[in-house]
Amino acid sequence: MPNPMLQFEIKRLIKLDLFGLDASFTNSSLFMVIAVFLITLLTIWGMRGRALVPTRMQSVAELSYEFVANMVRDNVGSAGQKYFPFVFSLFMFVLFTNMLGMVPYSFTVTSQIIVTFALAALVFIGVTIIGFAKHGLGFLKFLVPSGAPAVLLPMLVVVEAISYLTRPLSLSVRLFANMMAGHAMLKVFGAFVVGLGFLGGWAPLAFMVAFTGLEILVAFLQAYVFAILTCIYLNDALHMHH
Amino acid sequence: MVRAAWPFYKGRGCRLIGAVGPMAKFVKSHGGNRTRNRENRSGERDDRFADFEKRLERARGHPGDAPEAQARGSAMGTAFRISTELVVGLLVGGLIGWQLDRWFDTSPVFLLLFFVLGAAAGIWNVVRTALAMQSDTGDAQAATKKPERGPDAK
Repeated sequence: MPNPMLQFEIKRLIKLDLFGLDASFTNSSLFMVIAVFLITLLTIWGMRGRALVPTRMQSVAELSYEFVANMVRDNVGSAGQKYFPFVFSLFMFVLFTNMLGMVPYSFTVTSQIIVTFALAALVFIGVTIIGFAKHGLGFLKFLVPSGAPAVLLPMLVVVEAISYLTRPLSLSVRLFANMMAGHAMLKVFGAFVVGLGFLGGWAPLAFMVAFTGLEILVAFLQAYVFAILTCIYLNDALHMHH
Repeated sequence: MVRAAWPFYKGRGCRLIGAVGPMAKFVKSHGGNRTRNRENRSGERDDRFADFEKRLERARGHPGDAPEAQARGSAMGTAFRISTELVVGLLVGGLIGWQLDRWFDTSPVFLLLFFVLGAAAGIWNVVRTALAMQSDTGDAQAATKKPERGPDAK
């Protein structure tokens, strides 16, 4: 049986050494570049006509724009319009890397925890800076729950601080674990199909067809959850209420 | 750039209204006059137009179905959110305690303490998300509830 974890291996395509740091162009980098290229293709080439009655490509571009615009407006309000480009880029990048992972023989960038953690840390640090820039030191009041008895306050502040610090980790672990578990599972069941042969292989094959559908749903949902949590964190930083 | 694009986004709603335009014209030219005459005589509206809204809704293709599927999707998203929150709370609490123990050489005091605090933080996150979700759906239900069905539907 083939190793189901082998598909997550990083391979150096172009060896590159920057001041002692390994900055090689890997298969992971390649698929990030492909994702960015496809997003650019969709949003710039797809919108080239700017027709009143959109073509198929333009319709997809408009739909994704509206989807994220709606999300930002509903969760952050009008103050969030400034951050729409960031949330849109983030959503499209996660969505495209997730979906590219569903193509056979491709590489799933978001199954690497360092990639998802970098994205989550970007959101976390950015949101914290926005909070402090907007409210000054008053942003620390975010950690103090309102209406709590004074005796419990020190403990509650620690709990709130931990809960704030879990944000980047829960954001990255959720995306990484879902993508990795799904792809490893697909590989395992693929091995079952081959191993059980022509007679017994049909049952895992049927399961795999259904599971691939579920994986496509998960790929979309995880991008959606990542973007909506970014919106919620932004809203917390801008409006500071629990 | 976003601000410039925002009105465009709002304007898209007009296309729906524009689609009704020709239909309204059609209705006017095919019996609109008769309706007006009848209204003048009896003071009541023509019965044929009583269910017009309903038929229009049907022609537009069951808009009631879309929010349901959407709600199911976002409910699944919430499930994904909540489930990780618990585990990660423990993990972060444990990591902080472990590091504090290494700094102060007090193993395992802080590890135990922060493990519990991390669990509390995880559960608190889940409760907060669930409360927010509950108030959201409560509002949505109040908004969509038909007033005439209010007393029966409890």
